[in-house]
Formats: sequence, C-alpha cells, structure tokens
Amino acid sequence: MPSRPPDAPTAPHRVDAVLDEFYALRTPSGDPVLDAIATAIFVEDAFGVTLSDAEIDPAHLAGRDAVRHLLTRHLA
Amino acid sequence: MVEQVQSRIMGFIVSNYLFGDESRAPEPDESLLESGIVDSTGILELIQFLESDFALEVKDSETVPDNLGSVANLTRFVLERSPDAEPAS
Amino acid sequence: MCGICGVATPGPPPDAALLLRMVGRLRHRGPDGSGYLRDQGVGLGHARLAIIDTTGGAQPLSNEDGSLWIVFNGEIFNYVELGNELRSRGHAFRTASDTEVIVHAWEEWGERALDRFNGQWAFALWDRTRRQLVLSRDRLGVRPLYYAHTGGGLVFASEVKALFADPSVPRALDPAGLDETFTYWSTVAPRTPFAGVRQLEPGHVAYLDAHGFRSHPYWSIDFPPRGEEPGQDAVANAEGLRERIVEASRLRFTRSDVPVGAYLSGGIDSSVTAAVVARHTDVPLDTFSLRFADDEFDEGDYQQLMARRLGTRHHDVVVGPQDVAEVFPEVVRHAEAPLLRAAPAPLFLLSRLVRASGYKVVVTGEGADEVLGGYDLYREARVREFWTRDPSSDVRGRAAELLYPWMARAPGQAPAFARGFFGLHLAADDPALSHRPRWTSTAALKGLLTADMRARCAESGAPLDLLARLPAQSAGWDPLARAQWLEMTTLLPGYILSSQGDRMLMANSIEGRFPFLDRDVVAYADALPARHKLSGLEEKYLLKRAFADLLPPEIVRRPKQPYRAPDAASFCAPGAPDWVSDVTGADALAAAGVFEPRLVQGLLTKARRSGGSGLGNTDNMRVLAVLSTQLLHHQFVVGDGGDDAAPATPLTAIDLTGEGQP
Repeated sequence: MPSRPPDAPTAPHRVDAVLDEFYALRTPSGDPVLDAIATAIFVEDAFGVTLSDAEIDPAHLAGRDAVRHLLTRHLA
Repeated sequence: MVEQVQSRIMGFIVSNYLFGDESRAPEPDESLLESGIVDSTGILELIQFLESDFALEVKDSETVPDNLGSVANLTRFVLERSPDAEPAS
Repeated sequence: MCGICGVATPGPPPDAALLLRMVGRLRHRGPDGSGYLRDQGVGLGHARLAIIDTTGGAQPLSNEDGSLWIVFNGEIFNYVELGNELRSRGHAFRTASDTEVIVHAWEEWGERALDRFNGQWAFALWDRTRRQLVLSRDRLGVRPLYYAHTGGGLVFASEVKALFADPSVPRALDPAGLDETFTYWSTVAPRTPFAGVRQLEPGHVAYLDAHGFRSHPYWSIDFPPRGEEPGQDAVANAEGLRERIVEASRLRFTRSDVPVGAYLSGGIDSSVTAAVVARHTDVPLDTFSLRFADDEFDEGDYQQLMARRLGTRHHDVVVGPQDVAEVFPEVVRHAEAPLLRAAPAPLFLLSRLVRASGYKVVVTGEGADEVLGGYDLYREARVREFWTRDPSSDVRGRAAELLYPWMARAPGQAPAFARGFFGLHLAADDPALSHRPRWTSTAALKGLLTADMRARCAESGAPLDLLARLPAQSAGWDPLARAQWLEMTTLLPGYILSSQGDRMLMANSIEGRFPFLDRDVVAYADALPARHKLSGLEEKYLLKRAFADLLPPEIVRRPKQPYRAPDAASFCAPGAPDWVSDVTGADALAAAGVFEPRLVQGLLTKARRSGGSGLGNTDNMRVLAVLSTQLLHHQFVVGDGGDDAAPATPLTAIDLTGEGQP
C-alpha cells in the first residue's frame, strides 16, 4: 500500500476537516434511513472504507459524533 | 389457462416494446430489464396493461422483479392474483 | 465567431466559384462580411461575424511578410496579454484583432502557441514557405471543424453543408457513425454521421503537406491519481475556483467590441455566470431565457428570481410542442447529426430571440456539469459503486430513492425497477461503470435498424471500443474522474457543445462564450479531489460553496433539473406538421434504408395513441432518432445540405497565384 500523502482525508488531522466539508452543505431527505445511506455514500467515497449493512443505519450515522466514532474504528 | 395468460402477456411485450418484431421476443424466463426490452420508465406501461387487461390492482410493494420481471413471473403473478383469470377483453 | 472553409489541392489553384459557394453556405455563421484566398495548392474561405476589431479584422489575414495566412473561427480571450508579449518580442501588428495574435504566436512558438491560447477555436493556417496547411481545434470541441480527403487533396469547413458544396465529396450516412450515435448519443471524433467525412478531434492539430496528412493531440484531459490531488482544503479550493471563474467570465464579457448578453436557465451555472458578469457593467445586463408552455419543463420562476436579483433587462421566449415541431427540420439541418432529444429546438428559438434583440454574443453556463460534477449520471455512478461493494444488500439498494426522490413517493412508480435498472451490468472493475446504463438503454435504438443496416454496422467494425482510448493512467484516477473523461469525450463535444451549443447559436449568428470551459478553470477543476465536485450525492459541491453569496438559496437548494423539452409530444400529437409523415413514409424509409418500416409504424402508432405524452425514456429517444435521421438523410444525402446564399459583403478576395513563394 503506497504511503498516504500528508493531506489525505484519512490522515488523523484531516478527518474532522473532511467531515466538516460534508456537513457544510447537504440536502437532508427527510427520511432518517435515507439520510444514513447518503452519509454512508459520502463516508465510503471520501475515506475509502466499506461499511457493513448494520453500520448503514441512523444508529451509527445520524449526527457528526456518531460518524466520527465509526470512522475512528475503521481508520484505526 | 397458463398458456392463454402467458401468450397474452407475450403478445403485449412484443407489440408494445418490440413494435411487432417477433424475432426478438424474450424467453419466458428472460429478465425483461436485463435484455433491455423494458427500461426503468417502461415498467409503468406494463403495470397499466395488467390493471386494464386483467382487472388487477398492482400495489406499489408488488412492483418488483419477482412479480413483473419476466414473462414467466408476470404469468404467475396474474394467475396468483386471480386464479380464474380471464383477460378482461 | 465565424465560419471557415478551404481546400488543399495538388493540381491547379482551386476554383474561386467553389470557394465562394462554400463560404456562402456558412453565411449564418458570418453575416458581416466574407473573404477568400487562392494560392498554388490551397484556397481559404471565411464568413465573418464581427466581434473584435470590427473594422480592422477582416480575413483571411496574414503576418507581416505574407508568408502565413489564417482563417479563424473563435476567440482567443487572452489575446491582449499575448499581443503585448509578442510586440515586446518584435512582432509588428496591423490590426487590433485576436486573429492576428494567432499568426504571430505561431511564428514565435510554433505548435506550442496552442498551449498559450485561452479560448475557443477552429483555424486553418497556410504556411506559404513550408507549403503546409495547419488545422487546429480547441481543447474541448467548442468550435467545429470537418474535413474530407478528395482525390489527392483535402477539403475542410466549419460545417458539413459547406463540404457538400463540393460535388466531388460523396454524400452518404455512415453505418459506423449511426452505431456510435445509437450508443454514445453522438459519433466520437474523428467520426461523423457521414461516410468519408471526418472531424478534427478536440485538442488536436493536423498538418497537410508533401509528406501527407497527420494529426496528433497538443493537449489531453488528465486528472491526478486519486488521493494525490494537490489541494485538499475545501475553503482554499473554493476561493481558487471562484477567482478563476470570475476571471474567465470577466474576459468573456469584456473582450468584445459589441455588447454581450447572458443566458439564464434558472439553474446554478448560468446564475453564477450572469451574476459575475453583471458586476462588470454599469448598464443593465440583458439576460435571455427559455420558457415552456408546459409546467413540467418550465423554469420561469427561478429565472425571474435571478433576473430580479441582478436587475437585468430580461427577455424570454415561450416554447410549446408546436413550435418545436415547426423548426425541427431547420434544427437538424444546423445540427448535422441525428438527435435523440428535441432539446436543441428551443435553444434555436432562444438564439433567434437574442438576434432579434440586437445582440451577437452571449455568455452561458455550459460545461459546469461536466467539469464540476453536475450530472445525474455522476450521482448514478456513485450509487452504482456503492452497490458494487455489496450487490445483494437491501439497505444499499434503497440508495436508488436518493437519486430520483419522486420515484419513491409517486404512486405507480417502481423503485425496485429503478434499482434493477441502475444496478445492471455491475462490475466493480469496469472503467465504464458510470456509463453502462446510458449506453445500454441507448443501444435499444438499434432494434429499429433494418437487418441490412445492422450487418453493415457489424462489417464496419462497430461497436467502437471507446474504453481503449482511456489513457493508461486513468486506472489510478478517482472513478468520478473516469466518468468525467467519458463525458468530456462523448456527450460534451458530441452533443452539448455542438447540437445544443455552437450549431443552435450559430444558426442565428450568435457567438456563445463558456466561462466554465476556460483553460484555467478546467485545469483547476480537473485537479480537484472528487469529493469537491460530488460530495456524497451533492452535486457541484465546490461551485455552490464558492458562490453561495451571489445566489438566492432557492437556486442553490433546488434539485438538479436537467434541461428538458417536449420530445415525442411535439411530433405525435394531432396537428403535427406534414413533414413528420413525409419523412416516415414508406418511400422515405426505403430510400434511407436505416430503419425497418414495420417497426417505425409500430412505434409511431404507439406514440400517437397518447399524443406522444407519457412515453418512456427509450421510446422518446426512438421517435427522435427516427425523425432526425430521416431528416438528415433527406437534407444531406438526397439533397446536398445546402441553402445556398451569396457570401456576405464586404467580400475580400486575395489572389496569390501569380506570386512565387516568399
């Protein structure tokens, strides 16, 4: 695996900044499950991780804190 | 009975989506989506056909490939919903 | 803007009458004047739309000693800076035109001059010393350039109708071109819908001399490897993007000797360009919009909102299905290609409004979707990638509802089928993952072809293997970048910039200018991280952030509305014009030999049953494909594409045939 460039989203000091980007501009769908799916799409693309079905759920993806927690696990 | 229903459905597929080109009629088990015969908006015509020609009511939750995705599935769906299905002529 | 044409011929000098006829065929591109040049071995022709140096910049135009001559269609927006640099290097200018800058730049830098041009162009340069003809086209295909090899020589022109002024150029539809069109929405350069007629590829330069004809790219679309994009900070990137778009818009608005207007579609892109240019004028900006009689297509509320906010003098034209049907043959004659949507027709009516209002130039928002991540197709592609990570997951499957929210709620709509449709041909390692649904559903059109035409397509080597042209380094790009490459290679030059863009504008002698296709905007955008273009499923993320202050929130927040116009409903309702049945009659279908008559009748019967409304996506494309291809055949194969007009006056005639080489 090539070394990650210093500014990559997955670098520890960058994760929060990249999450900030997502929350700065989004269009909520009005359905918590669909919003969780939309968040999953962003997270998987921006951070290069793959979530399980159980994780694509409001319990894990509703709100910035929950997402941050999930990412800490995946990027460890 | 099965044959009558299936042949009526096949007839609709050939005339409505293939404009009469029998040579490209699908196999009964062939996926109508995968073969490109029905696109994502063309499915609505299929639903309308079932509702008008077989006097069925197709619920939103029933608009799934298991019911509507192939001629065989459509035939089974029609027969299940009205066991003595006569085409509404 | 303008039209160019010419011939290179190994024998005696070209016939002046032929050059004049070719120039006359381009009169709509250049109603303000014309010119031609004859030399041993070459002829050049020009139809002028006077925009910069309206008094001095007549063409053909030469360098100081008459060794280099040019005919040019386009604008080099940084011509002032380039001119200053060239003067400081000793070049002597006689005009204030950007055309002359090209000639001196070629003298100074040769082919590398092209790297320095920020603009849109198609030009032909005749080098009398080298006895060499040079052809070039801008990077993304804003301006057209066609050519055909003829008995040892070459004929070239801005439009096919001017090539066909030469009776020795054969006229026929190309089966391989039809195959490409009925897959990719258009042919892919160098191919055209016409056999033996080629188009110079965007970003290419070609040379013709004693060694023969050859072309190569001077530029190509490129992206950084995923994760190695130089700027990762959204705030900094938004500022950088804004600077470049503002500068691109300023150049395009101010570098003109005639007034410039702006299109306003109601969407974000043209709202940004109009808002930016409005700041560079003390007099009210004139804005132009399309409205539709049918609420389904109309964006009038958003247009009015933006026009009021900017305080523009706003003009609009209301278009209904009958208007589309009436102008459609003329639209096809200008597009010179089969059309799978009727959308160019209202744009033809819009540019006609601009001309009637006394304008020659408009700034518009084309290119933002391709370059900054605005297409629905990019969102579909991202959902498809999401599905490849677990194709059987039901929860992942619901992502289809995020694509087209109305699909989940409207009764009778079928979300499961949407998922089925968008989930077809899902292979994680497919470089064309983004485009398979479109290519597959478009290819359904080939079901209408005669058996003979299908055989001829197969013989011609169709289908085109477009993926073979993807650069090797694309394997390391972000998937969004690969989707962008495909879009910028197919839909953008083949349809958006041509059939909807240059051709509809030039049909009414209007020059379009596209800030989002500015050289520096494109370079900057191509280097952005993918999430700054498409953030999850939020399209044009950085553009929205960069210009939030200039746009009303209603426009930033509105869901993407692709530009749409009434399609089959224009041609299949009662009262459709006679030409519809004329071109789909048995004789016309047999003469063209493209479509199976029985199937065409079946299609039209089905369409007419509902007056053309409520048809599915593919059936709409079928109707348009049949009508436009039949019209094309009638106009360009049975006829010769011509609407012969005299070249516009004043006419400049330059005869170098008596002069030896310099």
